[in-house]
Parts: sequence; structure tokens; C-alpha cells
Amino acid sequence: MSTVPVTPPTATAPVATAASGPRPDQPRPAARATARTAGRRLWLTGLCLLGFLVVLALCTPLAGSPYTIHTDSLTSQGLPAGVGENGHLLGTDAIGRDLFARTLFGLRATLIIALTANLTSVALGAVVGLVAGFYRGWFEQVLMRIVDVFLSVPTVLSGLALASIVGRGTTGIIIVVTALYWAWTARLVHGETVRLRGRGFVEAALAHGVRRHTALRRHVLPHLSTILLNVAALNGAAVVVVGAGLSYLGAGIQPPTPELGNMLADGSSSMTYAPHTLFVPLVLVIATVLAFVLVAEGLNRRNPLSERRSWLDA
Amino acid sequence: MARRIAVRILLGAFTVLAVVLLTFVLQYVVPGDPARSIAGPKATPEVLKEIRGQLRLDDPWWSQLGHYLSSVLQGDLGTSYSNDRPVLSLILERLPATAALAAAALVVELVLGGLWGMWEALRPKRSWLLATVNVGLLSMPVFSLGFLLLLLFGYQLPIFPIDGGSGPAQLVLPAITLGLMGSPYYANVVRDSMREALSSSYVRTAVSKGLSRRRIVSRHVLRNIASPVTTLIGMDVAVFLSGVVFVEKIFAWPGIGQMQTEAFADLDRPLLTGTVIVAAALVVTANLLVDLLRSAIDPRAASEAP
Repeated sequence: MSTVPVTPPTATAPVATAASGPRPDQPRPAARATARTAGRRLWLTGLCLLGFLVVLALCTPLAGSPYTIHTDSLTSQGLPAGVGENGHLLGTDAIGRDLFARTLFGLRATLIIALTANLTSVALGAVVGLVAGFYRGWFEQVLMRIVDVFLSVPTVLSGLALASIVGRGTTGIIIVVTALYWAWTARLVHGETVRLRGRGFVEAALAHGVRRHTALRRHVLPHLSTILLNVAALNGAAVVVVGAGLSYLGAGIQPPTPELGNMLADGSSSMTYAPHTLFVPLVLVIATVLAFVLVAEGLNRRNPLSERRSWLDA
Repeated sequence: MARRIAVRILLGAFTVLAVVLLTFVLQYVVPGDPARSIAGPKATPEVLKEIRGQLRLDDPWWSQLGHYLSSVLQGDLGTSYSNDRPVLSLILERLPATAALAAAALVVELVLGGLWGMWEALRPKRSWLLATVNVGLLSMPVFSLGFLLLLLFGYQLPIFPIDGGSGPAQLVLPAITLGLMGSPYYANVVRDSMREALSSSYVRTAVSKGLSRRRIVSRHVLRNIASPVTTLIGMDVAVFLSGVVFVEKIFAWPGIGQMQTEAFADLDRPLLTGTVIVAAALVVTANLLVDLLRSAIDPRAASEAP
């Protein structure tokens, strides 16, 4: 019996797979699909969380008064009721007001401010960015220099200065937050519009004799919807933080009206002996920001650039 | 190159000037009488008239604007209502504490974010743990993190002093708070730019030359992430000047942010607007410096439009 010569392992096999495999600088289609699915799961979760918070905020009529002081709920040492004690679902705050009721009203105030300010700042920024990017010329230069000015003032530091001038309360804080944040959207939308304007289909439409603002509305605006959604999610997260933060610093909704930010300020002064007064509003602020961040992160995952592979593993 | 630098300097100067103008307009249109807030509710009409004269409040707007601009250009940002001292010297007094906090936070960010980003870029697959930490930190408002660290390491496990002093021991918690907040941004930028470098043709060349993994990363990849990280450091000046307001209040760190909160409580308008002008000047200067630095590090940046 002659022995069949065993073919030695050739050096060609690994080379062949490397050559037939995808180039690391091109994302694999499969990776792109998984990224999209994972992304969808993330932004759907974020949207559900935001919906849940909105429903919670709509339940305020069921929660009772956020102002009534339940003196009988304090313990014999004068400490506030803890979570679930004396018929208070989340206990009471340091002076005996029902924390559940205050939290729901506070969440409502925070959401009203965040959603309105998000809408106004994104809308203002989008209009400025779109007009500057599409019509160009000296007009663009002036608008974008104004954007630069607003981008160079640190938000909270100037927010306090601005709040001392436009006043406190819901309208005041919406104006302040809009003034602080519109420029970020404007810069992003401007860049995207300039890029779109150079594309062939816009040029073709203009060459066809389509009027400029029709071209803007029909051909540029629809392409901006993705970036606008992305911006609205990111901007929303920032706006929640700054809105609640300014209230925490005393520049937003004034006590005794509850708002998550000013409840944090109350809670921080009683956190050593009643930590729940700080934790309850804290958890809700984090949940609200998390909802926006999840949406932004989910939309961002669809970007296949983050799925590039390395030559070191090839 | 020289022309590009000149244009950048001019644009920066214009930006600061515009901020000064904006603060003037806002103060001019605002309702209320500054003389009344200086002298208090019991002031006699004569006293009010004298203060109004000192502040030139009865002059026409163009004369007030001219006076305001010329005094700001000479470094006079007005006098604080609440403690009757020049605004600029009050700000300069508090600036070192904020600068120390920002520098310490930057170290935390660079070390944490850099290591994190490099680790993620060199792994072939995405780590779900780091992705979760990333989302968690991004959705943590800076004040929330401050409260949590304060409760945990200030009260429950009293490792760090929280007596409101300004020594190195008191700096640890606020610096970690600010630094942790920024680290996911650094991690993302480091990861993305490293991925880009790793998938580039010059790394392919390095691999086919047979260079060691270590040498490729340290010589060919890390050099190319220096430029985006420098940009991020420049942007951090604005982020820090905003974040310190919360962090300094929570940890009682005596910097600019704490001063601004106090100025807001006292409605001390010259101090409030003065801080904004100084902050804008700092941000503009930082962006200019970063731009010059990037041109030095990365020749590709030098040819960008101004």
C-alpha cells in the first residue's frame, strides 16, 4: 500500500481568505445591517422611555396637591417620611410636602420647558443654517459670524447673566435656553446645506429653471430630515440638563412651584438626613436625559463609519 | 499661513467685540433702574440722581455705548454692585481656582478617555459594557454625578474633605466629576480617529512591511489622533467654563462659577456680564491657540480654510 502523499498545508490558504475578504476600510454589509438593527432597538427604547415620562407627567391630576404640608407625616424627631411611609408613596420632602405629587408636577414643568425649548432652538437654528447655507453671499457671512458669537459664550455662565435680564419663570427660561442653543443646530444645518447645495440634483433643478426657494423646499429640506432628527435628540438631552440646571441654580422656575431642578436644590440641602428627597428628582432628571441620549445613540449607530475594521486584524 | 493666522485673529477679535455689544444692548433694554439696585429701596432722590450721574444713565444711548466700549477696551469692566470693587480684579482673583479645577479635570479626561478609546479601537468587536458606560455617562447631568460622588465619597465613605477649602484634597472630587463627564467624548473621538487610521492605507503599508503591532500603534496611529484630540481640548474650555458653575456650587470650590451663582443671587449685573465677556475672550483665545497648535502638529490642518 503506497502512502498517499499528504499535501503539506499550503501558505496560500490564509492569503486567499484575506484577499477574498472585505477591505477593512469598507464596512461589511452584514455589519451595517446589524448596526441598523441594534440602532433601531436603542432609539425605540429611548422613544418609549420618553413616552412613559410624558404619560407620567400627564397623571398630575391624580397625584394630589404638591403644596399641602402634611405636618403629621413628620416623625417624632421632625424627620420627613421616608419612601412608602405614612401613606406617601415616595415619602415627603423636608417640610412635609408629598414627594410623589411634587415629583409629578416637577416632571411636567421640566418636560414642558425641555420640549418647548428644544423645538424653538432647533427650529431657529435650522432656519438660520438653511438660509445661510443655501443663499450664500455676504448674507451667509453675517449670519455665520453671529452663530460664532453665540458658540463662543459658555452656556451656563451666560445663562445666568441672561436670566437676570429676561427674568425667571417658564417663558424666561425657554428664551434663555433657546438663545444658548440655537447656534449649535445652525452650524450643523449650515454645513449640511452647503454640502447638499453642491450636489448634482440641486444644480439640475436650478438649471431647469426651478425657483431658488422651491429648490430649497423640494430638494434640500427633505434631505435634512435625518440630521435634524439627530440634532433634535442631542439638543434635547442638552436642553434638559441646562433647563433643570438653571432651575437648580435658582434661575428657572421659582419655589414653591415644583420643577425637578429646584427640587434638586431642596433635596441637596436635606440629603444628609433624607437622601430620598435628592434621589427621587435626580432619578427622573437622569431618566429624561437618558431617553434623549438613547434616541441619539440609536440614530448614530446607523452610521456605518463606526463599523470600520482594522488592518491589524486582517 | 500668515494670512490665515491674521484672519483668525481678526475674526476672534470681532467675536469678542460682538459679545461686548450684545451685553450692552441687553443691559440697555432691560427694565429696572440700576441706581435703585445699588443704593437700595430707601435711597433719597438726591442720592439716586448722583449715582445716575456717575453711571451716565441719563446720557443718550450712543454716548453710553461709546463710554462702555472705550472702558471695556481699557480693561475696565465696571464696578460690582454687591461689593463695590472692580469686576476685572474680582474675576482675576477667582480665575486661578477655576483654572486648577479645569487642568485637573483635563488630566482625568485625557487619561480615562484616551485609554478607553484606544482599548475600544484595538478590539475587533464593540464592547457592550463600555457602550453602556458610555450611554450612562452621556445621560448623566454634571450636577447629578456631582451629587452622587458627594454623597458616596464625601458623606457615606468620608475619604475626601468637603469643607469648602481650596487645597489639592478638596480638588479631587470636583475634578473627577468634571473629568468623568468629558471622558466619553474623548473616548469617542480617540476611538473613531484610531479606527480611521487603522483602516487607512498607510497602516496597511506598515503591516505589510512587517512592523510590530506596538510600533504601528505608537508611531503611525497615535500621531494621527493628536490633531482631533487637540481640537477637543480647545472646545473643552467652553465646556469647562459652563460645567464649573454646577460643580463649584456643589463642592463649594471658590472659582468663577461659584462667583457667577452668587452674582446672580445678588443681581449684580456688571459682575454677571463681565464674567461672560472674560469667558468669551478665553474661549476665543483657546480656539486660536488650538488652531495654531494643530497647524504645527498636522500639516493637513494648515491648508484648511480659515
